[in-house]
Amino acid sequence: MSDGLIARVARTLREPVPVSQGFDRRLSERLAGAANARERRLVRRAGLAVAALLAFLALQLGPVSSPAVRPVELVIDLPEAGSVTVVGDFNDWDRSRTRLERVAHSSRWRTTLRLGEGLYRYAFLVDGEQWFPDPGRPSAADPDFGGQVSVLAVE
Amino acid sequence: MALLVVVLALPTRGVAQDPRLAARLDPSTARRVDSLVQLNARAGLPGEPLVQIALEGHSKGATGERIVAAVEALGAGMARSRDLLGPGSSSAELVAGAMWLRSGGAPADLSEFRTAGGRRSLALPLSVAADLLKLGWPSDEAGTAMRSLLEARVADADLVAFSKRLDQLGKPSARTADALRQEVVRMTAGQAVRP
Repeated sequence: MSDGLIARVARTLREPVPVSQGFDRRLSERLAGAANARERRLVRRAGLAVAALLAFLALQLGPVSSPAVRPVELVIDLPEAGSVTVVGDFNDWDRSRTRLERVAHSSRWRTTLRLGEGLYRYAFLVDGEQWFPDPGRPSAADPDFGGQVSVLAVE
Repeated sequence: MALLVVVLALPTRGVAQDPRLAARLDPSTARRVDSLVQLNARAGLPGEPLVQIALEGHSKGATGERIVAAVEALGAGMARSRDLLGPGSSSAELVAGAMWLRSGGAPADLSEFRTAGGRRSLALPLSVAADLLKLGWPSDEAGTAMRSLLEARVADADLVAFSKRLDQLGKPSARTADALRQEVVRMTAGQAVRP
């Protein structure tokens, strides 16, 4: 069982189980009026089973909270470029989704991404044809598809 | 008992193929990549990096065979990285560790980086270390340098500046190796190098 799954189970079980006021009142009355201990135990066990089912369902649906994101600026100096996009793990390697804008009166191109924690591999695509690594960040040779890919780590 | 049957009948995550694979890859390649993603998941390894490398291959016009080979290689690299970095390693560390290995880095260095780095994330340091290999530095020089920098608790931003500084030194040689060692000594003494 992975650490992530254990953490999600613990977090989910700590959350209160939402019940309507009517249900809560009926349950309380039932518990108060139950004539024998055996009936009270059965009602409590039913409540626990419902809570366990809700926790399981919550796990299947996944975490509710969204991870924090932060702005990351990418800049590259390409005097001869007609168009520049950035392609990588943060946009499913879509060649045209994330366009850079040319900075006025300069040869620099820039964009700002909003990224959650993680490691992202990427490269710039110039005029839809040429791949360039980011000179401002670490890069590694791409043993699978050639060229180089840059690496951006967001902590 | 009826409740148990209902619960077990519910679909669990990880069974359905990632729709991005079907949208971008040919059916055969998508199926093969998905199988590898599921295999990784059963081994407790993250599947998203494998999906991303498949999408990268598609974006760069690679054949289905090359894409599958890349996914297999990354999956194997991540598994090996987990063996060496430890089972609590993040997805980012496993990917960066795979990059180090696939760039020709010594496997034993991963364990030593973990020891030298303490509790900090190794994702960025491993990426910088792989960058040194790309620049042509021998694995033992790159490994020794990174170990020293981790032990000295050099910050991530300074590690990036260090690799850019080495890029400016030019192709590795006896002369530049001396310069590399001097840079490491200066940085571990607390004198950060910034461009």
